[in-house]
Amino acid sequence: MEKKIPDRNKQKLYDDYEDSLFRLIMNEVAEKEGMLFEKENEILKNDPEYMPSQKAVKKFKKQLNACHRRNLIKKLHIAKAINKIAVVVLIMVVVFTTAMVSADAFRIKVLNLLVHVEDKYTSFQLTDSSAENKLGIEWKDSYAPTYIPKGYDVSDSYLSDTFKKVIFQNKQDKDSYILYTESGASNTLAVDTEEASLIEAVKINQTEGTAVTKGSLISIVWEMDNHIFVIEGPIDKEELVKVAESVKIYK
Amino acid sequence: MFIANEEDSTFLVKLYQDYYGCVYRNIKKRTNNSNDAEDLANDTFLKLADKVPLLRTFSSCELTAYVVYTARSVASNYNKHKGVQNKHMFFGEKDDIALDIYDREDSIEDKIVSKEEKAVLVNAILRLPEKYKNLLYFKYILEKSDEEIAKILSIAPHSVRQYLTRARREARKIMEKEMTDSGEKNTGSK
Repeated sequence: MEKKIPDRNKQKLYDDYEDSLFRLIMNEVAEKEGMLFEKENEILKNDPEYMPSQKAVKKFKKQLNACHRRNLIKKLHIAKAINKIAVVVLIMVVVFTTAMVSADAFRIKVLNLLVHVEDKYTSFQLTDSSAENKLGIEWKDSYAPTYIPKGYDVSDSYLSDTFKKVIFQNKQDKDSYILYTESGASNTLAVDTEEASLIEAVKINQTEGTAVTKGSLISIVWEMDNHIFVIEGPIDKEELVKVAESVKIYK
Repeated sequence: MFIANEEDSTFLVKLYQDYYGCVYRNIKKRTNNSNDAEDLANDTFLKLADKVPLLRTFSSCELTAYVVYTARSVASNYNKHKGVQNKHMFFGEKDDIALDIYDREDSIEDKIVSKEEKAVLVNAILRLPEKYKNLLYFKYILEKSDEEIAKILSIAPHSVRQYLTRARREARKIMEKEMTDSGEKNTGSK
């Protein structure tokens, strides 16, 4: 049964065929016409009117040399740039690898804690979640602050395999609280940084953390032993840092 | 412009000495300006500097044709910038490209060219007006892009394909006329 080719396909086939045919034929045309041009050129070669002047030849050679020089300089610049890039990359690889292997703090700071600053919040995530680094969180083998300012008691707590939360409430002031959370490596934490008045680095023992101040609420985020910790509350930053520095593992 | 090495420079200098006459004559004829023709001839050979590896693959006749049509494209470009109306290249407003749309009555089978017809088509192209011949050369021999062709011919890039269709159609017309004439001649002589 004959299959009807749609008009649009037909048009394309026709164009393709014409293109190929004329590409082929034009080579023969060039060969044939070139022969005529060659004959004409042979005659012109002996006609002083169509011979290049000394000045024109000199100018052409000069232009050609300039062009050749430009290409050489370009090549040289490219080669130099490649060399420079190679040296810089090599140095970076060596420094980075050495620091990664030898300095825990560097590894933790650079690789593990990925901080995404978004429009309305900043997310903190431990990116190195390989099986060997991922600690199982159990209530008995878990972290908790060993220091809490006077007047605060546990009012609420929550426990899961990868997330732990404790809220300490001020007995005198119901609006004052300290929120403590601990997350596993695979978690992502969101800290509200929209319209935050201050985002600064803070030292929590040997680790670099981040303190976010938004109004009277202060949040401190840091990383330790492949866990992310957040201490938050409408209290003094120094007090919160003290609470953070007191976090230890309970066996 | 790309010149890989000294060998390329030597090749170009020889090309310049061998084909200067042809290039100069073609440019002078098309620009009517002997003052600028010398510089334009030099420009033509500098333009060819990019194509040295390709030029080396050509037969002598193909090389000559390539050089001549490169010179013609340089001349056309010059005329365009000088605002000179080139009688060889000009595609006037009267050229209604809308007429060149695909003829639905034509079947592809009708357009397939036999070996015998191919030779006639070669001659037909040689007899085309220069503006069509240039267009076919720029497209299929110099392998210029539609944008480059459009710039040289001062037409819209999307019209290039339609002008090409027209050029090919004109060539076919000449071919068919030639075949009909030779058929009639053969019948008459019997």
